[in-house]
Amino acid sequence: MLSLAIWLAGTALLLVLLMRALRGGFIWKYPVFYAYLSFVLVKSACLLFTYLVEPNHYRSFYWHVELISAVLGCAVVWEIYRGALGRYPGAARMARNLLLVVIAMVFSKFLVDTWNGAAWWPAGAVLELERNLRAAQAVMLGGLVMVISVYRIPLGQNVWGMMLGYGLFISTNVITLALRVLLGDTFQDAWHYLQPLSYNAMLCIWCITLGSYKPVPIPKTEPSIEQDYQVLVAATSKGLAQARTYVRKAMRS
Amino acid sequence: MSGALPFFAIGLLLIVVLVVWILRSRVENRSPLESRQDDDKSIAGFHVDALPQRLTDRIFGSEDWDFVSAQETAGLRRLFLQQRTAVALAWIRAVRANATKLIHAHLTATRTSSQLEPLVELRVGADYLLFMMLCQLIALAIWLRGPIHLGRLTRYTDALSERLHELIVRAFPAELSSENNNRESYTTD
Repeated sequence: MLSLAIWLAGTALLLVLLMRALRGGFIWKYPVFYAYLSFVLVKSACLLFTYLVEPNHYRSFYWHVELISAVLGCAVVWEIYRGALGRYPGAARMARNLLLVVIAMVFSKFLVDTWNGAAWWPAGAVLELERNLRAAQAVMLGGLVMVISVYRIPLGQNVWGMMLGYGLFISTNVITLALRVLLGDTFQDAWHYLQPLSYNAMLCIWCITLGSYKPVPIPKTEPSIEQDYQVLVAATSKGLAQARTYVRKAMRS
Repeated sequence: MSGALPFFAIGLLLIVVLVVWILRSRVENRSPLESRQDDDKSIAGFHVDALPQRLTDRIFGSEDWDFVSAQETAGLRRLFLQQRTAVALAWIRAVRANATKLIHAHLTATRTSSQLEPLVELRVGADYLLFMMLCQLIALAIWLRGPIHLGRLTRYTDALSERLHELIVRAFPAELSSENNNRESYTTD
């Protein structure tokens, strides 16, 4: 009964998010993100239907749609990258390459493991792939947060909320998936509640921060003399070298 | 268990990174980079010197100490060393603050560049961190020995900094090596 209540609450939150975006007319500002939410809504309805009508098939169906959900989660990370670094082409290029490399590595590992026939049973293999995918997303989000933090890239409320909500969900997900793989079915009861609860927490954060369209602020234009990257780097290096010489000279006096 | 550990670590690390980011962004929202008073300082016009060279030489030189120690008053000598240590530590703080301003100016200016190179950025970052470490070591030496006769400790930190700098030069691309090979020529005279 409790799990059904959590499920219904999550579905209601999803509906609120989608309705607000539709009514506010900003659903097309974040198309991949809202496509993901629509998929999750349809997935929830299908899972509920299977649970009620064909409970014997529920488990295998759950793991298969869960895998699709995890893959689409990469698209959410992509949308966050696009939203956060859209006006920062150099950083965006770096991030794009990193994203593709990490995803390719995770899938390669999965394919090699499957080819070698290592522990192939659908739920276990899917579970491990999902854990690896979520871990890869966690690494990418962590990297993005660090780039944003170091370069003080301003974020709009929408992208900020997407990143915070998804980041917290991914981190708890990676931990619970690791426990699920480690402990097996003994962790199933806790998993049964932890997974949807962390998902609902993320949806709550999104409901608060995605109530209306809040775009990413436009960065201030830098002085034209400092547009050349090599000139900027040389000037900074020169400044640091001067600082080092200044300190050394003082110490020797 | 060992197979699950990296995943726990990744999950926990992301939580920590997110919390630190939220806390930092709350502080910066109160004083965003763009609105800081020193924002008008460009990298090209940057000056690292916290004080004129004459005063810096005086702080770390032995002239004043020679005069005070000749007075043969233990209380006066102790008071002089205390105050001179405080001044030297303030000087180090000012130098570090200037270097931080320089890096902030660099980050603000380069973040919109389409030519951003990760390795070059890493090198600049490593250079900056090395300088901050050098300052930290000197501050520790001043705190332990006072600013007058730093002697061996300074030579040691100087040599360590030099070795680490060579490591950075080797580890990252050579685009900037001409800058670093010539770094002794950049003086504040």
